[in-house]
Amino acid sequence: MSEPDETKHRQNLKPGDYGHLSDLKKGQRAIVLDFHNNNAALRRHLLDMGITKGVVIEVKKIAPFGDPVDISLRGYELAMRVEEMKGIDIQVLPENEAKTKHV
Amino acid sequence: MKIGLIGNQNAGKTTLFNALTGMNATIGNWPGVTIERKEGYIKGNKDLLLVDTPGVYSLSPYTAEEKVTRQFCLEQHPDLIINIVDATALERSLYLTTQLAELDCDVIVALNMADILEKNGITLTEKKLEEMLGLTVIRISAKTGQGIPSLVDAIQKKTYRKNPHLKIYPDDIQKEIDHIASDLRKELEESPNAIFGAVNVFQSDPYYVALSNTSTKNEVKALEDKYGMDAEQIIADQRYRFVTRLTSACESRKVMPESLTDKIDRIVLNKWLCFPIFLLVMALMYFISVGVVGSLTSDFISALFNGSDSIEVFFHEVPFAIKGLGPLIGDAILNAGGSMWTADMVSNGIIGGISTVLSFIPQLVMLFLCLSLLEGSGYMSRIAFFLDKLFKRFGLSGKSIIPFIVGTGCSVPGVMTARTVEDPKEKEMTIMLTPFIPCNAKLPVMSLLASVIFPNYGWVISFVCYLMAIAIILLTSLLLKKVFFKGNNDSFISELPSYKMPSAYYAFRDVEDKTLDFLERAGTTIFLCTFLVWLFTRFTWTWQYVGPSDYTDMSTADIGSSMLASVGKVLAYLFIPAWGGHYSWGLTVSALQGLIAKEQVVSSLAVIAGDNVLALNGPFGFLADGSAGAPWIAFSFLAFNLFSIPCVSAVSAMRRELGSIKKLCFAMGMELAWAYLISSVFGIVGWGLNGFVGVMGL
Repeated sequence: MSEPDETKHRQNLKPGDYGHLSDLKKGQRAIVLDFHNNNAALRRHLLDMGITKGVVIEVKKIAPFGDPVDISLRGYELAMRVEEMKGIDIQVLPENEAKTKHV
Repeated sequence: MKIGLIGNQNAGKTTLFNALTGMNATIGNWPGVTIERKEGYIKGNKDLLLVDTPGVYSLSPYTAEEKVTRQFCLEQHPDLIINIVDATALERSLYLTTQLAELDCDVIVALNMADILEKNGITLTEKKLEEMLGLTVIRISAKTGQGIPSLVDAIQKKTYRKNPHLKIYPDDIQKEIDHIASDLRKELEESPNAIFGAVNVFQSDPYYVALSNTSTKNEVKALEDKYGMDAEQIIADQRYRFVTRLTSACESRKVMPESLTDKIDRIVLNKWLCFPIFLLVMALMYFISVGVVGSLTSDFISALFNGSDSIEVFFHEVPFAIKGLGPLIGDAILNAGGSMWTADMVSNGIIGGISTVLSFIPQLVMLFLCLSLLEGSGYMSRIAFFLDKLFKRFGLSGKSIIPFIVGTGCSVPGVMTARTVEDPKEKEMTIMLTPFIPCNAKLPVMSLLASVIFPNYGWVISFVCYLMAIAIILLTSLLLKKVFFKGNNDSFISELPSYKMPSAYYAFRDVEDKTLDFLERAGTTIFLCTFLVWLFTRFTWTWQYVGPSDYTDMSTADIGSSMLASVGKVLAYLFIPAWGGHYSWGLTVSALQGLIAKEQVVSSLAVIAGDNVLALNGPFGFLADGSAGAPWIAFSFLAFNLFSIPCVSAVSAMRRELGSIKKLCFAMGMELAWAYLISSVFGIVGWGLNGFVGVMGL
């Protein structure tokens, strides 16, 4: 598995591609592979909110100026800033796949 | 029996609390409304004490809310926890349940939002959930009251299940946790919450690591290597695995067509429409409360108390001759043989103070109502969402806009709404910056001086003032962010709640609550300070009365020998640059009174000039004498009033919300510094344009 670069923004990710959560477009879904955040409190908060390895996240709404982003996971929605999303490594999932969870 | 009410933000805790206790706590359709802990007895049960806690997603030791809730669980020893769970977000909600179930305390799971489950295409078997969790599960709707009798019944008759302490981790992790737990039971004298403690020792939670001597480093390291993640991740991951097993067994979700919320959001959060809609909503809110209700009532109320010949309604003079309560009582006192200063005290000191407070109330009520509806509907969260990027650059949160908007009406509720900003740094900055927004009470000062500076273009000055306020706020926040509040504060993580029809009942109760709060807190302070200003402008240091010889005609007073004037005469030296090379105790005293209440500024100028209706002449002639520097000096006086310490009511609100005298002093010092700096710059420019002649008036 090729590790995504630390900060580079990748555009036009296709199903199967690797990237960061911040690279996704509205409506795309991806599976979380790993995540890093230097702020211990924030990292724990992300874990508590259910952003763990293997969880499936869909980008639901993007704020008019691109930040923050409203994502849907584990049957609920959450708004977060792009800054945090850059630290979450993902693999894009096919769009028409049935909405089952990968745990 | 002490019962804790614990759940996620926006899970309906406060609604359930109100339904159970019959009390009226504030409810909003946005996360984080409960900041302080509230307590109340369950209706008809004087022995069942219910404690409301701030909404949390976890009992981790990080955010302020989590600390409060965690402290409650560990140190207050509740006999029972009602874990309110948002049934429409079951998976996320049960994560907290897995933590609560590790405490040595029984837990009832109240599945809330039962009334909208079907609408969301969700079916739930709570019996199965109860079996798998080992905890009593009761389906309720806090809003409609459905299921609440059975909840109360279970508590009263203690028919709920005992907490079985389910083992939710794989054997190797569970073994390690059991090991730590048994050590903790020996180490801690009263050994409460050993399992909860053990899980936290496992995750190297600093609080528990300090309590325990058990060395677990090697064992935990081995498990971390085996699972390929660190201990905190392992625990969160395993909790969610357990929860996912529960939800996949108990819950089924139909794929739903695009929800109404999503449809509305496509318009409201559209790139081109979001700002126009936002401005329209704000303009409407402002128009209704200040434009309609405010202009209809505030002059009228003031006339009822103080008497008048005409009042201003919708910016038109309307004849309205009334003697007013103050003069009526004042005359009665005089007729009964009372002294002039008694009549002056009752009429101008006491009744004048009351009318100042009351004249604010109608527009404030309307403003609170609009805000309550905006909150309740869910639109407020959208505003915060789309403005976040803009405000983040300045170290503020998208939610800071709400206090700023409210602050255009009055800083007191503005500062109060800052509590909904999550990040503590962003919240403190918002509280400190809100008073810079020109509020309602600053308008008379603005319009008076604007008419002097630009006789025919007064509105330009008002506009410039608002622009300057925005510039100062942004500059200050950048400065604060760089110098005082250093560090990464990117933590906007919040929910976008579904749109709801706001409940009229709760909106009215909310308004009642906030209005009473304003009356009690701000009202008493405004009243007290108006009275103090009266005292200090009417007496000399030897308590000689120098007030008016006719209490209805202020021009007969000799304010110049009062206590306040003597203070002003000293401080006036400091203001020589700000007043453009003029030594003026009159301007200084008026500005000082503005620190108490901005309404005082214009009337103080009038009293000192010896006029009942103020035209800037006499001692203040230099503000409008047609010299090149005069408009600059007038603007300097205006700027000082706009940007200095707001007023005692706002200061008392800031003190309460900042929770620290030190921070309050910092905020006030910063405001004074800005005001002095800006007015000095304008004053010196004015002085220069007048040719830097020597100090006038000395």
